Amino acid sequence: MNRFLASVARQTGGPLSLVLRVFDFEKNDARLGLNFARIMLRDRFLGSSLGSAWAVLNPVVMLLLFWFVFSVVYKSRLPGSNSSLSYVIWMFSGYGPWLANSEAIVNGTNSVVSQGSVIKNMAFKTEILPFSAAAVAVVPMAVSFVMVLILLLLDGRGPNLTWTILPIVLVLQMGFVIGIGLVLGSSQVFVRDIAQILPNLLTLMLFLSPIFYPLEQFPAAIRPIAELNPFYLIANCYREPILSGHWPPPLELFALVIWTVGSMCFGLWYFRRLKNYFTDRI
Amino acid sequence: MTTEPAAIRCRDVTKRFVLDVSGALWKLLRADTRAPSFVALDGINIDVPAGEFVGLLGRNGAGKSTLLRTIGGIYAADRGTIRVNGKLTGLYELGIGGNDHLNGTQFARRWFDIVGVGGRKIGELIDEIRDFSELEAAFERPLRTYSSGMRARLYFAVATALPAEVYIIDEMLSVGDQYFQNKCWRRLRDRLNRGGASGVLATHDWTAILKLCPTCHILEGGRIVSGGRSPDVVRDYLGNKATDLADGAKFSSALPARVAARSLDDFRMDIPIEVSAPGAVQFGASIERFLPGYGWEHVIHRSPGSILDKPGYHTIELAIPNLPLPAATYSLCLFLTMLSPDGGRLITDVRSWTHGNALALEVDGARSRGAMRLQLSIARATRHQAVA
Repeated sequence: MNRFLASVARQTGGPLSLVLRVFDFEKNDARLGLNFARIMLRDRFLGSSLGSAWAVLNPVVMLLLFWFVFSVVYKSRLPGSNSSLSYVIWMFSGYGPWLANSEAIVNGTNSVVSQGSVIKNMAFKTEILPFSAAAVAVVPMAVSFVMVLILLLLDGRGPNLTWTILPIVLVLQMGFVIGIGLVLGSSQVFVRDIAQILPNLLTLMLFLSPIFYPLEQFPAAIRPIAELNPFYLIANCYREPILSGHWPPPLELFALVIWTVGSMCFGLWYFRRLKNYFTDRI
Repeated sequence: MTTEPAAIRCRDVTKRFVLDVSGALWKLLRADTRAPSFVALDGINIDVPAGEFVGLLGRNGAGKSTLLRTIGGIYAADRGTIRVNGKLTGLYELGIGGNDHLNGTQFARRWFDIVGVGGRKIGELIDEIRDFSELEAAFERPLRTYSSGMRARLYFAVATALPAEVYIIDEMLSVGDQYFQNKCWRRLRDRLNRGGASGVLATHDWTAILKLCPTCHILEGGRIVSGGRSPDVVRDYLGNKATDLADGAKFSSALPARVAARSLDDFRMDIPIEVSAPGAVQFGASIERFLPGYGWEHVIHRSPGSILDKPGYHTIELAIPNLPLPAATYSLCLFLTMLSPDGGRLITDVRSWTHGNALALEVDGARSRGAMRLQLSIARATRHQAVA
């Protein structure tokens, strides 16, 4: 089996090409996807005098706001701890991935309509747009992880071996939200109401997911369901290695893989079903 | 020519637009073909030979732009096949949108990012674009400060900076001021005549079609309603009928369709005519040539002059000593006119490209870039002693 995969990989020009081909992409599409990510990042801040600095400043302001509300006003503590610092680290390490999730979904939803003029004038695989939109969303998460790292060092903790799993978690997370972006982004072309209700739905999802509060605070009856929530899974697969140096629970990682593969396959199928009709509406 | 593969080949291309009705999304997802739609293109067949431009004429909404975008791969055809042979550049509509805060340099960089050109070449290309667009200082200002003419200049300069093999042009050559239009024409002519480019030009401007395209098609309601040699098609499009020919002097049907000649040799041909009415018969002739990007050029012309005034069978001898034409195929156009009783001139018979029946004059011999060869002799002048 391994030998077979290796020979396929050789014929198709390396493992990256192989993965791309499975999803009917080419190397050129990957390059174009990165270029579009750059274009989206620049477009968002172009014309503002601080420019791309906002990409860093926005999450910093947001995180400081949450720190103020939860640890100064509400004086939240983790169970069994009396320092507010450990709560803040815990919250930031879960809220950072959430920022990436919500940005990737919002950007992905708008990615097709906002690039309408390019779609109408140039021929390319439009399904790369939600990928680029998700790549842009990694920025706020990176900012919050930098803040988490600083806080961890202040608390006398630091990197450990289990952090090596984080890139895999990132890939799974991106795959999952890109799938959602593919579905919403292509639907948005035909049903423009999606972008209107999306912020409310995301806020609802944020508070339904154990991100600001521990899973243990959920009523025991519905906890098993909450544990399957992909947004909780993503947050927890980041938190376990970052906070306690534990590998993510294999079952949770497995559940996340299922979510990601399902979301990506369904998203691509859905998007490709609709993409030939985009130009009718843009 | 005929052995080369066609630059573009469309077969039975059909494109439907799904109408904006409630529930359209679900119908599309279920691949329900009964979703209410509008047929924008209906069974289009077009061949663009390598090295030629084909024209598309038609009113607004006839489907010209839809066809161009379908060929360019932006719209997906619902049925039929499209084959494009070579790198394609589309100049679809003016002012590609995007972000108005970009300046000229950033716009160009973005364009190359998307078409996939990178590396050191970009710097040279951008210098070339700044030069060609003649935007000067405005090149570094945001696009929102541009006039529509300036946008057109930037767009044309960027889109044609890289030579392509196949061009798709939508009304592009009728924007901007006269000066810039000429510049665009010049660039296109270069790409066509030196680069061997091919393409499709869609426009309302029939003069552009005559200049650029040996053949063209008329699109109406998403169908090709007529096609053929541009002069014929344009004449029909403008609602002009072929000139009604008066009775009188006629060319004999024995007149050949092709005539061979040799560069710099004396050219001679007999033209049999038949005159059925009394009156002064005048004969005129011209040799014309189609140069892609320029149009039809008169090379040799002789105005009608009276030759005879008796009915009967006659033979006119047409002679051009030392035929001053380089090797190529020309149109030999012949005209017969008679004076009408009221003193006017009546055209009684025509062989001309405007009527689609010109004689092909195939000149063999030395090839040259000139339209004609002048009999110029240059002798060495006597050398004078320099005056000290």
